[in-house]
Amino acid sequence: MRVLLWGLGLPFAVMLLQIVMWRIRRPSEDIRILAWILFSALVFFIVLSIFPGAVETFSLPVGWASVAYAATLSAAVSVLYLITYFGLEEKSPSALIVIAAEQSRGGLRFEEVCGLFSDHEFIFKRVEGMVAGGQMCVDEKGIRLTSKGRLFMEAFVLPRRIMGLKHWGG
Amino acid sequence: MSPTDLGLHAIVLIAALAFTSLVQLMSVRLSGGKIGVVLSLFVGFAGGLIVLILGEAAIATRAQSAVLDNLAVGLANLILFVCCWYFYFHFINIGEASLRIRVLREVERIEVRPVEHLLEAYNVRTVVETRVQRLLSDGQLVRQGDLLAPGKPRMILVSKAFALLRLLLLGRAAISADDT
Repeated sequence: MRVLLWGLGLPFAVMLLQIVMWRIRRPSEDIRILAWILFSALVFFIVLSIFPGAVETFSLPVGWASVAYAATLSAAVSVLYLITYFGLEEKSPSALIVIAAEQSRGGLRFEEVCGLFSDHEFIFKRVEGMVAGGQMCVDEKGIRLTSKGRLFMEAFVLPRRIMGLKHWGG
Repeated sequence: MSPTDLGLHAIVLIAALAFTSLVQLMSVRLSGGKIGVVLSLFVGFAGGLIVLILGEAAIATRAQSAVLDNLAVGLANLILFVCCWYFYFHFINIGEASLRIRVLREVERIEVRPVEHLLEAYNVRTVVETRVQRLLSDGQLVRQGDLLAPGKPRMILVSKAFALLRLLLLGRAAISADDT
């Protein structure tokens, strides 16, 4: 029971703390700070569980295996929250198309849908981000992938090869 | 709870996750693409969940630890399974729908050429064509003459849920700032 309580209670406590903190002032590097708080809480829990006196005082899980299980559960819920939080900040083109079609009340022509987007926002901003992240580089000859970018791409392309998918999404 | 019982729970979880991935990948491959990527992820989830439930039931009949402890770790395992499936869902979906991965692929394809050549291969029109095709095949958009009209409300509901979550997690001030 303690595994479940600590595994879920720890990330939920951090989420509540984050909601209160963000209401006061939302930091500019919010994802990095949120990840840091979640990770620190996890380390604090593991360190606390080392002290024998703390086990009963704070109703911590008993034994290394239980602590490891609670920490794994806590880490998984934390990462799930981070992925969802990151998704809240991204604009999905598909969602924008569907919402625009709904708001149009009669439907949209293909050209009108294209007018909702710009190459700058949806292509060049991503290129800039990936150049800054070291996945691509631009020099006088042109644009090319770095080894980091190739590795990053291959990680996501491998399941597509296993599934035998030939068309490209995006 | 004894380390042996926890080890058994961990083995059941790993087996359920491995089965999820196997079912998902094979359902697309063996169906020759008739089962779409998103549907295959849910098929994989169902397969993995069955393995998890059967495994947890087997542990419950043999475990030496207290029933309540086993039930709690079983529930923890279920939450871990859902979390891991959620990561897997995003990992597979990024390969299918991410603009970044497609841009990387196109840059690899055009080899070393000026940035403007990227737009010849991949631009907003290509993005919209790909997305509209996917939304039409999912039934989320329907064609009415030369108009694209809303279909199933699934994505609208997801967008509304995300808007609510943004309001809860980021606050009204953050949303107003994003909109301006």
